[in-house]
Amino acid sequence: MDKEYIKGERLNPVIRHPTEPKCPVVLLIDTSESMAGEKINSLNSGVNLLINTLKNDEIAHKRVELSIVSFNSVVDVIQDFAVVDDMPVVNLNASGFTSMGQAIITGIDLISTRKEIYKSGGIDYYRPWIWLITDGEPTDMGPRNGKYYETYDDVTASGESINMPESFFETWDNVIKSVHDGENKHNFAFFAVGVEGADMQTLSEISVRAPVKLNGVNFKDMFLWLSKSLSNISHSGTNDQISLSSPDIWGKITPK
Amino acid sequence: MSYLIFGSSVIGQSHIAMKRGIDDAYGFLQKDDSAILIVADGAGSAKYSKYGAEKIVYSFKYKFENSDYKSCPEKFIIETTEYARNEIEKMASNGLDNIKKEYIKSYKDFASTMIVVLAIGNKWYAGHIGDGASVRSYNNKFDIISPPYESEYVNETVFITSDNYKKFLNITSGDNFNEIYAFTDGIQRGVIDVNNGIQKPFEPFFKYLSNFALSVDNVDEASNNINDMLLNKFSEISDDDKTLVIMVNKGE
Repeated sequence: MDKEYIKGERLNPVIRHPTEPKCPVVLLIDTSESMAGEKINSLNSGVNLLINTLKNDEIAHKRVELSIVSFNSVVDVIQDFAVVDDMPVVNLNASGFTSMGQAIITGIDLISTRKEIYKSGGIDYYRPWIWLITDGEPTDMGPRNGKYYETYDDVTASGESINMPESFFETWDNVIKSVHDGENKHNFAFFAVGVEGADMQTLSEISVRAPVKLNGVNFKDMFLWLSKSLSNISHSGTNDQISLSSPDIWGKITPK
Repeated sequence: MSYLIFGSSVIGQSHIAMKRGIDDAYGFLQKDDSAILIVADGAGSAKYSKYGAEKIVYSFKYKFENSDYKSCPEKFIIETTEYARNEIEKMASNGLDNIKKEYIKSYKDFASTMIVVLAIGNKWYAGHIGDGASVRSYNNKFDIISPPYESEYVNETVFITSDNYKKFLNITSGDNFNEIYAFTDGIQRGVIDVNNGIQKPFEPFFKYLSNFALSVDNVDEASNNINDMLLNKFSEISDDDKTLVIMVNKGE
């Protein structure tokens, strides 16, 4: 029998290895000013370690599709979904504020769009992951009962005290609803990792799962854990639901 | 009425890598003007799923030989599914010759999907829980008579050991067939086309297979050919176990 009798790569030129089920992962990476120095250097090394580890995995390199979104004063999709084979070395710089809310919405939108591509191409996929890494607190959103409800000090531009725009609170409401609905409807799994200085209380309000506080700048072990978890998932056949191992080696779960 | 039934199972590369044996099982029997084929796929996430799959095959063969399946074939499928589930629960409670009951946490350790196709004359009846599928060929047209359980994600399906498993038992029936193909999810991605949520048999594959099936006169040789095909042509489609069983309606 010739290969063309089996549904194959020719069916979807957009997606590499289309006969392999896809394991989509979005990394939302805080590149605000506070991440400068050792944190961003360790983070860059960690992300590249993740990519290289997955590249060397015979199955995961065909199945894991990574998207990388950086956020500071602006949100930047520096890498749309792709298998790791196609990824260049990542070198992020840190500056500016922390547009975490918009980054989360962007990540959810990326997943929604990618799922549509999978569906239209008849490509199987695992439940997507969103992996948020931050050392701060969002500067583009906050709860109505939070400390920013009355006023907001814009410390960058003019130093004037200005009233918070309604969009600040709407973004928060939208993010909370989107993340919680997405988890409850099993649209994705959302994980939050706080680096030293992160507002863990805020992360625990955003994430349905308990956030994890990174030990120091141990991005290396975190990304090795992530690559191992993704390998396990991508190696699983249908029917194989995977339990994640404890993150103890690189972080501490913050009880909600 | 007579049928030719043949097929094969091969172990997936991922099972070899995990030092796990094959978890698929299949079987078939013929009697009078009837035949039954069973395909079961033990869940990779369940420790003893291989035994669950084997128990499903055994249960349907046993009941086919020893009970009335003709007066109400659908009822036969429902009751035999219940019987298989009860047998699995008993196995979990009592342990097996080679597995002490202390090692078994739950009957869910025996999780398996199942596809059963019962033919009586030219009529067919299918019972299905989980993924995999069965496809009918009739007058050179192909249709899915028993589709995979629709889950958004590839690693999430239902099993005979699922809570509310009766709710997931999909029973279909119809008249006439030239061949019926039943297969596990290991080859599903290569032979079922999905476009905008609509599943269809991948025609080039089934046309080829139909030509092959209709030319078969030696089932052992045909099973070997299926075995070779699963090993050589589907290795890039999936590293899971793969099973394909074919029933050819030879008529009177």
